[in-house]
Amino acid sequence: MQNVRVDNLVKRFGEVVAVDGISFEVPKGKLLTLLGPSGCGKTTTLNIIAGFETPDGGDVHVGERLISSASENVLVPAHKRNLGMVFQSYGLWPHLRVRDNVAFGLQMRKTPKTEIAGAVERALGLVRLEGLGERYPSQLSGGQQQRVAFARALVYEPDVLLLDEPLSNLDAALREEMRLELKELQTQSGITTIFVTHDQVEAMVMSDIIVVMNEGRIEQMGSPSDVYQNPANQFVAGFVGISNFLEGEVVAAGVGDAQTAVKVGEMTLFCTTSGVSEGSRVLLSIRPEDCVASTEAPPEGTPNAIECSVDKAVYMGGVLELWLSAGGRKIRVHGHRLPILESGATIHVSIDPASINAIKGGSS
Amino acid sequence: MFRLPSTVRVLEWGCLLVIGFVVLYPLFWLVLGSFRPDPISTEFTLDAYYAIFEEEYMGEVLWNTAVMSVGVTSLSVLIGVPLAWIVGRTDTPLKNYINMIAILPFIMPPVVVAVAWAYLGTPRVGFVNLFWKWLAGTKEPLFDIFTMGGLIFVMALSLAPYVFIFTVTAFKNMDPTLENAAHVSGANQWQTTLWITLPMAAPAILSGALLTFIQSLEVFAIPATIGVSGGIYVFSTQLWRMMLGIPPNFSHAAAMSIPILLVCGLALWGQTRALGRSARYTTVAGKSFRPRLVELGPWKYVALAFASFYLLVSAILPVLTLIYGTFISNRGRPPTFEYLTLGHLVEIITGDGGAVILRSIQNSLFLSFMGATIGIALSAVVAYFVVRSTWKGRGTLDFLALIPVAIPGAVIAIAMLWAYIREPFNLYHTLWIILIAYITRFLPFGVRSVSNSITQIHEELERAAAVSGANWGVVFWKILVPLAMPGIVAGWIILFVSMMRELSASIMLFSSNKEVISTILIQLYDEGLFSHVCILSLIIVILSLGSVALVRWLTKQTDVEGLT
Repeated sequence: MQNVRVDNLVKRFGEVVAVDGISFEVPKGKLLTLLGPSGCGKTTTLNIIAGFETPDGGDVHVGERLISSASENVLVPAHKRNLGMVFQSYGLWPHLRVRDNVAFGLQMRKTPKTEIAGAVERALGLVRLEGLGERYPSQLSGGQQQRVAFARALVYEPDVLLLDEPLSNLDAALREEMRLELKELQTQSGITTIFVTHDQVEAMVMSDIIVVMNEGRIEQMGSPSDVYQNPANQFVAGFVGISNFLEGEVVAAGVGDAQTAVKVGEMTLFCTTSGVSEGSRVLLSIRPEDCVASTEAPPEGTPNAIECSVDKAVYMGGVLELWLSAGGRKIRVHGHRLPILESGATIHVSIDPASINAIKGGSS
Repeated sequence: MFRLPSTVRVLEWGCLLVIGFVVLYPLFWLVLGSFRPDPISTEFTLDAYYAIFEEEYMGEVLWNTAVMSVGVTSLSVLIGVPLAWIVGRTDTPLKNYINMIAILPFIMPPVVVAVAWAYLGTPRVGFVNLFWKWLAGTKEPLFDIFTMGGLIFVMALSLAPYVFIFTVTAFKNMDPTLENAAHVSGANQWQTTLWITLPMAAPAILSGALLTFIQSLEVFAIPATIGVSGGIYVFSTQLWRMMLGIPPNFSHAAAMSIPILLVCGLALWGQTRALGRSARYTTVAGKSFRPRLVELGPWKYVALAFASFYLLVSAILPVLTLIYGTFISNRGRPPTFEYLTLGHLVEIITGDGGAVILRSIQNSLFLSFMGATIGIALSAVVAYFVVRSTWKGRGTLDFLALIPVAIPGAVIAIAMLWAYIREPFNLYHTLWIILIAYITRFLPFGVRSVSNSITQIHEELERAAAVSGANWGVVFWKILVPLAMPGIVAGWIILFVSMMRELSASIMLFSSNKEVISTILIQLYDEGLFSHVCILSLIIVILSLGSVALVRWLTKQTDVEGLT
């Protein structure tokens, strides 16, 4: 098991800069997720680490070993990097039985035949596919194929595991199940893992570290809760979960836990963000689920109590999704235990100052 | 699919009966004929089978046929697979030109390759051997083309493209993830090619090889020129010899056809199965990808040289020979201006070269025009029912229309003779029997051409017409036929050109006054009329080249209209 260090990686495709100076480190045994919309450069980054793309700049280290460096002209070929990889379409070889698919990496490493059989059995056991070794991939379900792909990637105990959107081909229910199973597998085997996905929920559930990428650059890097609760900018706040964005001007800057007051149109909202100066423009990001909606007015003195009118209310099962107007601004709120509301009805919303996040330089 | 009205059911049955008759009636007579002493008698006997196996030359013919077929198939794989890999998976320069190998069988029919190589490879005066003697300063020829080795060489040149076509498709459509997975697992480039790429292409290679095997039994021109000149008789030329006898030995020919028919049928069955497996290995629904190319480094020039050499010997040298022969005053003269002449061309056009040449061209044009038109009309109906119908008989129809692929042209001809020389047809020594043979032989190609283009037409277009109130006939004529027209025209051209140069059935069926271009070509070759052979061959090549261009243009029209 090794850590992975990526320094200042650059990759161009003609005029397009796909990866624009990316650096991050995956500590030993941790799972780092590259999260971003399609075309953000996450898959290219993974392919560079795997050895399928040649970078135009930057270094990749696995442990102390330099496997790719544009400046030092080092490019270890994919088959000598000792990595494991699970592909989006699994990439199981259709002409080989499950057992031979899993054994392939060991055969390439010249492992003695006697050891291979045992290792393959253990790997299939790890992914709960005992007894299916004689089947062909086409005779397995999507979820089972997925597990074979994992067994194949893990069987030779690679230094690092690379996952390229491995869950995106599964249906919703199976995907949810596999998420947890995968995370457990990773924790159990303690393998350093880089995971690529565009699904923020997947990233939240599975990661130790999330790297949010956009247009070839890193927007934010941090723990899942950090990225969700304190998005660094509007892109992160918008991409990770749903957010309301309200632009305003700081009228009173708080220090420490003291509250900062921001004037948004005719409303004044309070938040606990510090480090913004009075008079500066900020963007407030508010999660719909952090707003408490009620037909009753909240007690006098409740901070951030807003009276809104309902534009549209959609019943979504446990949640009533509300599109509201307040002081000329639109906000989206998740209401709980509310009657079905007609358009034009009045509703009271209050927001905990701690869950409002002020992003600096908010005009965008 | 909308529910077809019952008039359609009648049409479907009618179509099945017609195709069933066209394909099965001659086969029925072929089998029956092998148990009869002659076409007039009604006696049942096994004499023909005893007789052919007691013939002393039979062992030799079978041995020759086996050596030739296995040799040609193996050599074709050895040529076709590396070429496919070079084009499909490497960074070899000029790949787009090398890819022309795929259309080579259409441009250079076996009869053309055969006569050209006969002129190139004769030990004493063959151009390649003359060049070698000059180059090496020796009196010994480099090789003799009129040997089993020469026969296999020329046939493999002609048939290797079939292996190429199937294999290159598999290489190009392979999911690159499968190879990336091997790399990540620790396999280097060569291990990946050996353990992943080639095994996954194996069904496609097998499929191409089996088709080549069938073709090697089917092709008549090369054994009839290069083989016969060297005294090597194989199955097809032996059949011909039986039919040349006076009187022709119908029963022996029929009896000899049956085992070959079984072998071809078996090979075709294996080929379809291999093709099915290949499709499972190489296609991922709704995905298109560009496979990773292997960087060959300096080896790419070796690859280019290999491909260029193949194109040189299979196409360029033969065509140069034909051009030389068309314009040179006397064979053997250097191609300098003083020895060039248009005389041979004028002779052919004015009929001074023999009225028979002009007549054969007229006959070929008539047969090909009629044959292609009737054939494509039949194909269109069959293709429609096979692709669109929900009728349970469509599988049978599909199968019936495929059968002729497995029947060598010579065997079709023998079957035609048995079936149509009797009442109520009496077609012996007419052009009509040749016409029916052509339509039967090339039906599978017509069906495939039209069904490819019908498959591309979205079914909703027909449903929309049906919902708007159009009955089946209106949908077929007003919607389907116009949309499928490029495919239908392309199919017509393919049939036309195939019929223009058909030899293996024609050679058994033609009679005096009823010659066609290819039979005259063989006749002229036997008479040693170098220039006339070259001119007729060149006409076939130019005609083929023109139609390839036309077909390509037409298929492009379909793509542009976005009917997919």
